[in-house]
Amino acid sequence: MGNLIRIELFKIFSKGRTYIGFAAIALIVVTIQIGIYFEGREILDFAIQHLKENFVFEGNLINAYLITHIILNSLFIHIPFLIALVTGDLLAGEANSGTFRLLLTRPVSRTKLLTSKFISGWIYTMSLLIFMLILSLGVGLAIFGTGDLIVLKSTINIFSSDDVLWRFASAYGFGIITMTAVAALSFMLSAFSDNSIGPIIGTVAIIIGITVISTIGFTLMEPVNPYLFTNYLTSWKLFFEHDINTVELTRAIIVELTYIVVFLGTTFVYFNRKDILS
Amino acid sequence: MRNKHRYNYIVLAAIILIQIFAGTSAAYSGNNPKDLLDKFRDHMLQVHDYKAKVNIRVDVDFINIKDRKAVVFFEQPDKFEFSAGGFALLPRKGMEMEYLELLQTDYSAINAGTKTIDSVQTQMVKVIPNNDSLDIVLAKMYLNPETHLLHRMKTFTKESGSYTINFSYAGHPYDLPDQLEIIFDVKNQKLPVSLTGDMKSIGKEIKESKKRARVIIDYSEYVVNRKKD
Repeated sequence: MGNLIRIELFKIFSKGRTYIGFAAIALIVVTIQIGIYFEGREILDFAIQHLKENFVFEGNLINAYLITHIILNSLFIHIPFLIALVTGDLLAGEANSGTFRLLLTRPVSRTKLLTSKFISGWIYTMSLLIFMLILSLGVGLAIFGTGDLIVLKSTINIFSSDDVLWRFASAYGFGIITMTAVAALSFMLSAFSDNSIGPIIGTVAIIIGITVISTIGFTLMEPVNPYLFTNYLTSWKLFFEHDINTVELTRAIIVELTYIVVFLGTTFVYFNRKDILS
Repeated sequence: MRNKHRYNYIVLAAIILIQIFAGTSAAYSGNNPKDLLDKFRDHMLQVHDYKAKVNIRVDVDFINIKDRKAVVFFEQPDKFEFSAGGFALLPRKGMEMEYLELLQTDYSAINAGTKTIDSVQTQMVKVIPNNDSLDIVLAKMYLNPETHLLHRMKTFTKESGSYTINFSYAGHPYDLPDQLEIIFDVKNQKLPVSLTGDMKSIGKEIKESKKRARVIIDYSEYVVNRKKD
């Protein structure tokens, strides 16, 4: 299995499209950091101007933690598209290039092949998230230093600097689960298709479509929303509340894990029965 | 035996004298609010500057922040600084002994009855500055006529709305407060989604309202008049 995964990883990282995600994240993160370096103070002042009428402040709120949180907020909804670029190609790419028949003549079971491909796609997903974390937090620490974290929501939440790192670790941990669900979805669509465009576009369309419908038609979708995996893509934000809603968090994790099992289960069942014609 | 009777008479006479003195003092203060205010002002003017550690508790329903520790420094007449290890916020009004500025200008004082605050019988004095340049237009000050300490102050201003300060004391030599509770109105401004990224708030009612803010400041380790000395 180790060899299979190494081969699949080699295939993934030999393709140019794999690096589109890293390049896009690097570009966006650096742009956000430059923007905050020059205009962060004004933006923050605008956000809390109403408080300045009644309060005086002390402390540095423009720091690496704020930047990491802003980057998470801005990017997390877009990361699925970058993941689908690679995971949507894992099976469909082989079908498209006509290598499946050759590949499956080797003494490797389809289940093993699928497992190694998905694990490789998952490692790519992880590396994308870790890259984002290192770039936003690591570079942010070097440029902006540490400090307390202000999180602007319907309320203003302020966290001590010593109460922040575990929240980011947990948020990224939760992010790995949601992004694994996204990877599993595009992997499943990839099994259904013979070219990689379909699964990539399909994943993006499903996520955007469900998110828009459930946001705009909130009342109509209200009974269904709790069971949609897209509804929890931003639930990492739960870790940035003083009283974490553990019920909501548990539900989010259960729903995401359920979708991962369903997507992967469907993929394995379908692919093991699939007539390979290409 | 005769000595014992004499001793009892002396004690009784002393008690009666103390009662008469205390009663007269209270009655005198009750009839002369300015005198009561002057005594309080003169007492507090002995504090030229102070430095103290504070614990800040902010109780506003749209701000979630845990208690913060800071060090505050005040110097007459209006120099106020504070520093905290991390981020901290303090009310803009109520921390700078604003009552001293008011009581050092020309003002009118009116007795407005009594009120019991935390089991202390206080005399309420309405203070109206005769000087238009002050931000304060009216202050209701609740003073203990016996100790001349301020227990509550409700202030109405031209620019900053109204705020109430409750003072608690723990017997500091300069009668500086052990705790301040500052209550004021604060505007709850709805932030744009572009700033919060809170997509789930889209379509929900956007309501801006005034909320009551309550900030409790616990003082400790006062260092008084160090700069003056």
